[in-house]
Amino acid sequence: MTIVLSSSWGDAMSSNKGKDGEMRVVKVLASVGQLEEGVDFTRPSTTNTADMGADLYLFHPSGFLDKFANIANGNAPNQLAPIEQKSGIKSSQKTRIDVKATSNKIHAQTVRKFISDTHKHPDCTGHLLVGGAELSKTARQEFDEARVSFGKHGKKLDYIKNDGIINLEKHYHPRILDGGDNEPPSE
Amino acid sequence: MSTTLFLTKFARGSDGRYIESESLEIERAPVGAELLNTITLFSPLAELTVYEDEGDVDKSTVECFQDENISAIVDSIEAEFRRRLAASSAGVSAECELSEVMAKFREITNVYFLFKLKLEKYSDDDSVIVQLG
Repeated sequence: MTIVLSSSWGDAMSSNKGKDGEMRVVKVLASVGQLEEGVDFTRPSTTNTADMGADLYLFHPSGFLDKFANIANGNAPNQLAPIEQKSGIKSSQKTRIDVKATSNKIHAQTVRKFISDTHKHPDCTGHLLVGGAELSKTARQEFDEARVSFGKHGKKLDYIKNDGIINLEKHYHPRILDGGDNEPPSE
Repeated sequence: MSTTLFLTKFARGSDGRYIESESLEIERAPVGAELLNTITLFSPLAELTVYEDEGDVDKSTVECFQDENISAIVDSIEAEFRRRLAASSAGVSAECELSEVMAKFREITNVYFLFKLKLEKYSDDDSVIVQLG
């Protein structure tokens, strides 16, 4: 059996590390909520979090999740179709966010649970898996198949890796520091 | 962060490699940080290298528990269950607390069942791994 002891894994899976990863996403969402009209989020009760695969719920207008994922994927924000920025825009959609605080790849087992958890949240139109270095090849294949399948039923599945969180931070945090008035620096 | 324990059977390549593309889930059990911390006190944390496919160079690391520690982990969960049982029997007074207690018992009994499966059905099968995801 080719298992080796890991000195880093213990740190990576401590409760603090997991919470740190989740809180990092919370910080991004707090910035998003400040800057994007009609976007807000909540944290569910911690009791059944692992059971339900829901660390956060994001409330947002239609179309926002695509913009959010595009920024995370490194697309230049200035090239993106802007969401209509005017007061009175409503949060019409709810997205479940499942955060994985790991620097390793996300494996097929985790993706399978993420997909099956989708059925536990019939009120969510979006389902976002966040964290990890990337999806493993098997995980990617199964995720992409599920994305197509759920898409036929009006559900949107997306994945944002750790680098994507950094992209979101680079995009949103400078705007907060600038008072929300300026475009972020070129990325 | 939501964390889940998986009892996973990996296919083994001709050179003994663990192959992810042919992995099968035997059981899964979500686990919270508190119980996970209790378990890891009794088991050094480990990493297993898995490959995407037979002959593939793409590989990654799976976080898992070592087979030799499973028995001690089962014992530790039993001790934790006794502790929680004693603590909850005196403390359950309102419906909201009951719901929380039941959720915690559900978590620990599911996690216990997963490790017991490994111990009783797959103790000699090193292709079956308790991994975290």
